[in-house]
Amino acid sequence: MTELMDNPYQVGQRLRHPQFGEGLVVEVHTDRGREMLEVVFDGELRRLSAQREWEVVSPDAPATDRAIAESSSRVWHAQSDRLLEVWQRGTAAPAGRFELRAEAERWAGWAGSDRLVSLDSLRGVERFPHQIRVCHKVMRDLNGRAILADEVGLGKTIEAGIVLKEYLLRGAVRTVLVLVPASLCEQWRAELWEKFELDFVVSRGPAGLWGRHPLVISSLETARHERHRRRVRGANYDLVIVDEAHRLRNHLTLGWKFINDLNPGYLLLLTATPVQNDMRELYNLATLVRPGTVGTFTQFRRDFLSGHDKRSPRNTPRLRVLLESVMVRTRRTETNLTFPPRKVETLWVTQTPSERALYRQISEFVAEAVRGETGAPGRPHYFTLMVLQKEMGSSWAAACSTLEHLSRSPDGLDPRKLKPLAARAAEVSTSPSKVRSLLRCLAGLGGEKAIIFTQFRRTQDTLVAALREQGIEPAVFHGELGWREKEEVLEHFRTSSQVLVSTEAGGEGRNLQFCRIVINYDLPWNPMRVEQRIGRVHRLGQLHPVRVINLVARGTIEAYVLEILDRKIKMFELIVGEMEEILGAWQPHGSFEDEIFKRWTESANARVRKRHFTELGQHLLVARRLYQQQKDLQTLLYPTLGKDSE
Amino acid sequence: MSPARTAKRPARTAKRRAPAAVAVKPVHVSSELPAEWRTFVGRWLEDASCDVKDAARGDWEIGLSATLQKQWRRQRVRLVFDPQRPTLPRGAWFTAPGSGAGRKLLEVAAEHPEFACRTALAHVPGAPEDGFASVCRVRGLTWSPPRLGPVHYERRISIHSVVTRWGGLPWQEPWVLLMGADGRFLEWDDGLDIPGVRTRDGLYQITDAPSDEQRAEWMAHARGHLDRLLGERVAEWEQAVAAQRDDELMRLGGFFSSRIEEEEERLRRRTGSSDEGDLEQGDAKSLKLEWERRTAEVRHRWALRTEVRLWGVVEWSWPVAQLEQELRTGAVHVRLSGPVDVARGRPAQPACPNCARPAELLMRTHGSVGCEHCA
Repeated sequence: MTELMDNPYQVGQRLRHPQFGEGLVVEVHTDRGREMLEVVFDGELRRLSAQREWEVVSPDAPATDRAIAESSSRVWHAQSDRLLEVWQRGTAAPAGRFELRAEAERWAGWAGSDRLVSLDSLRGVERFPHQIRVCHKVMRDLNGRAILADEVGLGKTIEAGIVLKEYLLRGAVRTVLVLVPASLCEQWRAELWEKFELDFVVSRGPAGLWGRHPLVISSLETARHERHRRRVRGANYDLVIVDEAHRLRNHLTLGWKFINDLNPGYLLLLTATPVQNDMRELYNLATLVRPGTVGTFTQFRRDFLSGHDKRSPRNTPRLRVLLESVMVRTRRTETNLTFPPRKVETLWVTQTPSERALYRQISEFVAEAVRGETGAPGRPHYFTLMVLQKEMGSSWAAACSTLEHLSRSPDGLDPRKLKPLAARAAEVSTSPSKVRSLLRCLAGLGGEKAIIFTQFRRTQDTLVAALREQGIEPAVFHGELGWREKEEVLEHFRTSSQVLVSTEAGGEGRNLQFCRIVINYDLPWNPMRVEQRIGRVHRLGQLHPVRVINLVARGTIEAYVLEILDRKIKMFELIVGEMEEILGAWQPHGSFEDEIFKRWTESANARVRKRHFTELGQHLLVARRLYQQQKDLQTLLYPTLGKDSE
Repeated sequence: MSPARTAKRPARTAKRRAPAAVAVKPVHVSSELPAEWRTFVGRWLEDASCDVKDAARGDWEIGLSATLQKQWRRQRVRLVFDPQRPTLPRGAWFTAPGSGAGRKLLEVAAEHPEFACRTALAHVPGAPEDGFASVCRVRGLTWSPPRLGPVHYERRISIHSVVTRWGGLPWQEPWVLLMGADGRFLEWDDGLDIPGVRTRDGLYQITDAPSDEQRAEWMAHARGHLDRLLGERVAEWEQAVAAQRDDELMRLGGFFSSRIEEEEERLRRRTGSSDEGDLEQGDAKSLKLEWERRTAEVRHRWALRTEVRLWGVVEWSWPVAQLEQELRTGAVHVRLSGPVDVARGRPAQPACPNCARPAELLMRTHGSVGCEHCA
């Protein structure tokens, strides 16, 4: 592309053509000795002679001229005409009415950009200074196009929600598309409704809801699908939010191309790790948000990459300055967010010989069935067998119930083995050693409040009965309660009861910081579940050290899980959200629970089992190191907003 | 192992303290609603003939008026004001300025424009003790004591409006404009009400009602004044957003022109480079079209649009008086007079005896008294 010295036209200028209107000069060149311009008029590329005089729309025109040009877009609201009618009617408002009307205007309006109107509308959301600073920065300086790259657990979702609500309230945005991993669609929908009163719909199915509802949530995979792509584009969303935006790090993926093509007016990308393996990933995200921030990739490579090492940036101070116009990152150390320490205790339960023998026998039965055809992955009994294995780690009563059910409808499993196992499970469930350990533990708490978590309703019933026998009246919480009952149970726990026995539904999103002891009566294989349990009390607002007590019997699958989570990757020392990142790095290997179960059932004896679980621990250790490296790299690279002043 | 034996053996616990993340200190931003909001909601509901009753946990149980029943299609509603309440009773409304229910309520509250008649109460004293000296400096001259004439009431009109700007972050400002009875512009403020005036409802001092034509004329004047003020404000806004918009356009231009250049260079060389995967996708033509598309999007995003909503008008009876005061120097005695805004106890600048323009400074000039322009 050659720019001619004696030519008055330049690339990037705007011309006004008498027929085609205003256009953008995208190229100036010579063609067979003639100077030519390439101008795009309303999506059409046209060639014009540079010899002719075209009216240039100067970008440097004085502001006042532009203002005059813009004045055509001034509108008088219809209420202005009605005011004259009211006035001419001549009936003056009674005393005080006018002040009330003025006050309504005060509450309804938003003056300037200092006050976030949306903050007043949040319900059940703790707000923190760093979140508010991020929202101000995104809306004022970045004009609603940004990568929100806060460290995990600092509330990127809340920040995105505030920005979204603020734009909606101010009328800047009417249609919104939120793209999240498929498994999180419902969670996002619920949160946006409960916390922000935003009535989103999840677009599913072949037809989708594109353009039929202003606020839509979908998975990236659905939206970018060939069947939907054009309709999503046609819906012309004003604001697009992409959660887990590290999925857009690769510019060759359909996801990246889809978002690039969508190019909404406002775009928020949420990720704690914009770079994983290659600095190109950072370039891709920045270009998606604001093309040209870090130049073209050739320029980026020249200026900011050292040699062929794709992971090592150079000239980082300059890069950080450039990234300031597309990215906001808050580090935990820059906030005044504070958490009390966690004290983790493992209470080793000593099983009776009969319990140990039964555990071994049922485990062998499960492993055999899984290895056989009827219980293999994807077969009808696979999930039931996995649950049975989990139930044994929880209570014999729970396992007994599943065994009885299976013996009634074996459907390919051996009923001759199931019936005696069910009978023995019923026998040992009358006096389980784990319950005794729990009661001893509670007796040692000195009357302090504690939440006992279990995965199974049957276990919950057993525990409640055992506690009542000891004269302790527990509060009982589970997912089958109605909202009013749930409220009452939590209120009962807060005011009078020492113990809350809860299933996984345990008051998610509720504030239970008045209690500081969590007892994991059984240990979920999924570390995220464990984290969620602890997160009910170990959250902002907790003022006392939190005590986590894990009840585990040696030789069980839970003992191996605990060994990995606690000893190997030191999960209990991690900050809320970090475990998810580590598992994310490991995720390609499949679901963590499946992996645990697979390794357990594939192990012929204790020695093999130990080796299998040590291997798994090593994988996670590598994932944790990888996560730490990424964290260090992000710290080095990204601009921050500075420390909270309070 | 028997239960008895198990009971004797103490449970082995492996205690380990994880490092404390940080010290304990709650820092969250207060999430409580302003108390005035609740007061406003209560006052408005009562004004709208609703029946407001206290309910448990600080909620209100509202029996809606017939009009609101029709509008909201329900007879009663429970209002919840606590932003920390995780769940709401069935059918209850969480009422905050930005919540759905809050907006619903405010929509009705701000639905109709309002007209009021008011009297501006006189300030005591009606004029400052030093008279014009408070607003006009003198050089080589002395002010004699001022004399305040009788207070009379004149009609003034205030127009109350809200100006909204789109382009960049949408912005809203309440404006109030004060005009004289002849439609001339007196003052403007970016607030909901005229500042520094104590008011009383009712037009007690002026008996004649203006005609419809006169009111229409005032409205036309008001629109003219607002148009002019808005023009100035838009120029300010334009300056504020221009830097950001032009920066974005420039960056976009630089990016696409470089990409087009790279693409053309690649085509010229027509070599299969090992870095092929690193190069941007798309041919030069589609890049040119995309450039224009994105430029249009940026311009659209930053385009300024304004909307003026006039929501209220007040006919004022405004206390004014004439202030007389002499300026002396040697044998020269000049008597000056000018109006005083008695509502604020503030005189206007006196007119220059020579050129009749409002004078900020008076001095001796050629044996007489004049302002700095005349000097």
